Amino acid sequence: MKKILVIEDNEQNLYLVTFILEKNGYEVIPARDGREGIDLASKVRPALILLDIQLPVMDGYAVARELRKNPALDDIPIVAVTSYAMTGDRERALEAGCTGYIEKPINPETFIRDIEQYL
Amino acid sequence: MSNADRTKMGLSNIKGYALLLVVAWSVIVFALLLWNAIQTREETRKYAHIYTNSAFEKDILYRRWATMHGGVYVPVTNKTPPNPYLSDIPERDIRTPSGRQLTLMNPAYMIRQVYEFEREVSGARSHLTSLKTIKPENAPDEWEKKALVAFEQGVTEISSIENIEGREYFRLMRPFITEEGCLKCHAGQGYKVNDIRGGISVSLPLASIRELAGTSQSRNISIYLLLWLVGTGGIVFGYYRVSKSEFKRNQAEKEIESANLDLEKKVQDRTAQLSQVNETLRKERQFLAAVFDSIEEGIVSCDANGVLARFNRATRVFHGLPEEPIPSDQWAQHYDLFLPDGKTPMKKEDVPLFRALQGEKVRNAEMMIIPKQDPARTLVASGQTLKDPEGKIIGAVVAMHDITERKRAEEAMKRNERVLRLFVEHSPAAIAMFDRDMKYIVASRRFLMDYDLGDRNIIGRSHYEVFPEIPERWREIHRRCLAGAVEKSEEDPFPRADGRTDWVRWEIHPWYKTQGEIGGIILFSEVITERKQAEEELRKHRDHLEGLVNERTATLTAKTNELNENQLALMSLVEELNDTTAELAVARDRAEGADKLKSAFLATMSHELRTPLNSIIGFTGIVLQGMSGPLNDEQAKQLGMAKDSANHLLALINDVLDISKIEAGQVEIIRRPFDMRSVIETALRTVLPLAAKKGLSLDSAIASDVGVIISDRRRVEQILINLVGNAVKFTEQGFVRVAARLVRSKEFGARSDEFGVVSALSTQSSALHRDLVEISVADTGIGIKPEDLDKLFKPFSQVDTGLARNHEGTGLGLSICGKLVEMLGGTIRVESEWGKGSKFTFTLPLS
Repeated sequence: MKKILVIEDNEQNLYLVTFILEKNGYEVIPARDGREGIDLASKVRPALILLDIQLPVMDGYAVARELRKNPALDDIPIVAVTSYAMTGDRERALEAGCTGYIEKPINPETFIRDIEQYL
Repeated sequence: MSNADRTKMGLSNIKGYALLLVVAWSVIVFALLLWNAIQTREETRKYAHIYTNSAFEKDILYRRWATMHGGVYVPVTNKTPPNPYLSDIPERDIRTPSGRQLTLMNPAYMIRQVYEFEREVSGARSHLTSLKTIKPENAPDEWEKKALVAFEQGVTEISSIENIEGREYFRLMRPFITEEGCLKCHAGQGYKVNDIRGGISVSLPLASIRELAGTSQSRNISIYLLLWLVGTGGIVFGYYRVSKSEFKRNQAEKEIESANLDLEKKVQDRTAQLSQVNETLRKERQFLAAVFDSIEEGIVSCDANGVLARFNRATRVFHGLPEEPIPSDQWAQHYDLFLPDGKTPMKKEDVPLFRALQGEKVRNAEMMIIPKQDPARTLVASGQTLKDPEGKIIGAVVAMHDITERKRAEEAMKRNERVLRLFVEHSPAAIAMFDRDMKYIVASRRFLMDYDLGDRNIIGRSHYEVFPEIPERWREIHRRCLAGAVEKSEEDPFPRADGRTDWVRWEIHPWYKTQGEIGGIILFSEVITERKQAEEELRKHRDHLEGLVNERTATLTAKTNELNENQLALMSLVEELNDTTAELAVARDRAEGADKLKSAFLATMSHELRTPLNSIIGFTGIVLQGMSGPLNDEQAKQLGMAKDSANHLLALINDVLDISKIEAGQVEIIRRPFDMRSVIETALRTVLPLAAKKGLSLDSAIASDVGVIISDRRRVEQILINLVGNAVKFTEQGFVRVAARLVRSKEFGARSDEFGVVSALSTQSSALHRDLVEISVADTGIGIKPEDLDKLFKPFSQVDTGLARNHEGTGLGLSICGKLVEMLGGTIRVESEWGKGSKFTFTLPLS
């Protein structure tokens, strides 16, 4: 079963994503903040990291940069899932080291297809 | 040509003559030698001829004698045997009575024997021969054969010098004529008397003759060589004598010549020295003149008699030059000299040069030159007398400095100051001008009003005296500005003496005098207390607005939490969201006037609303997909409505975001060529399902010349989808039609009418015509009331709110379309008849 690390502080959103992913046969490793996400990433080496940008303590951009510093995690795709939809938000995410960018609200009909292109 | 050359030529001439003489002498000697050789040869030949001829005659005589006797009998010896060719002759051999044996010797036999003797004695050879010889050994050689043939032609003698066996011989041959006696022996051969029977050739070696003649070629040559040597020796000797004396003469000539050269050189040297001195003098003078002329000050001098002596270039610029000396009492008049007032002509005693000549030390005397033609000049002149080393006055000099510009600048400055004072005084802004001691020079009426100074006369009084309450901080600012700083503040509290606090926006600059020195400061100020208060109120209002939004967001979040338990609650939540939309529209109205704030607010709003929407859309989607378990039809229908509403809200947020991006100038337009037709087709394809559902006819009329344009494809598509979507949305029956064609900009046509000639020229150039593509979307829908047409493109203005509830839409679509069309450089307009239909038309530039 492929492991997907979901770094998301909003319980509802975490539940939503977990529900969809598990229904589609993935194992979800949840992380409530950036620090926890970074620790779990090196511990479990997930197949994919879904990363919220607005996080407590350290934001998603900082998390992505931190993850990219670790050469052991270099090949894990990071997909930003964010409600920032202003001009330049996508570019900032990619610049910080993200592989992809999905805008919230997510579309449950296409969400799996969207993330699987990064797997 | 130098003398040495001449000498060389004289000597070489003599050498030439000597050589010519030697050659001539050689030619003469050689010619003599040649002539001598020819003579000798001729003589030798004559001698040989005589000798051979006489030998021939003698032979003929002997033979004739022998023939006459019919031969002679001789004793038979070994040398003289009986002639076998005479065997047929009777009595060839006889015997003397004493018994001696004799044999007949015929003439030919006898001659031959004589010839043999001859050869032995003298070396000459005689030969009797014939073309028809009896004895084979008598046959002729080649030369003789030729001669014999020649005799038959009538030639009587042949002679020549021939080479036989390596030796030179003189050969002579004469014919041998048949006589009576001959026939005795030769009748048998058929000869008759006087026939040529043959010839006798006599060959004499020339060497022996030469010996006889006592001549020898080699001796002759020796003699001539000796002769040549003597002559040549004489010539050479003569040459040396002559050339020696020539050389001496030349030597003497050379000495004279070199003496002449010496003299010439000395003269040249002296001349050169002289011209060098002159040149140095000339350069010195030129240098002095250049220095003199390069001085900007006008310098003029005169001699002790008052005759003007020297002027420099600057002086000539000031007032030309006199053609002839001018007497000093006419200077003022001649040079248009005036007193500083520019009106009174100078008298002789006023003229600086004259004063200097009188012994006065003139210092900075101001004067004017006012020529009839040129502009007037103001000058200051300084001058003094000139004295020689003994102290005798030899003239005077005056230097003049042009101060016209300075004068003019000073006057302009005075004028400017007047204007500035007037300007400051009447300025509607609060301005005050101070000198270095912070005393008022001028203050505007507004300044007096703002600072409650009324009609108090403050000019000349110190700022600190007028406002004793001014804090130290301000005094420091004033000091800094007086030192050259420019300072300002957008808002600054100003505690007043009466306890109030005024808010002031101010700016202080130093002001400069002409010389660049700071004359004081200028204070611009504006009392903004009222504006400040208004802003404060606005800020409070804004905070309230933000609080409202936060409150709503909190409500949304709370409501969302209940969703999983009760789907009906979701429905009501969506209702509330719709209400929020309306409230947002109200909020937008309130936010008008604070554009920056609005942009930031919208961005935050967009983000904050997305988070709860994520749950709403996400979970309704999941439930509708049946992932949480099966739904009955009613539940699916109701949840579908909730989902549509949530999507509508998302569309609204996106549109609001779009508008705010456009207004904040964050939308980037990417112009690339694309096919307008394919964009129209895409738009039609998008709305086709809805149109088909409603049974509307959807058609397009695209003119054949519409094709590729350069614009932002994504944005054009957005506009068109919006317009076509609206048309389908608001039409219940009939059709929706998209038409496209190329048009020529009308504005440009109108402009060429206005600008007459210029535009007539410019209309020649097609580049000035802007070609546009015009796209229209017409429908047979509900139409728009005339009074609503104006608000159509304003945000949140879906007309007739009653109807709007019946139609999906955010009310922002047309507003976005309008702004996008504008950004793409086009225009949009609408025609409509209430209840009949609408037609939206927009244009885009082709590139």
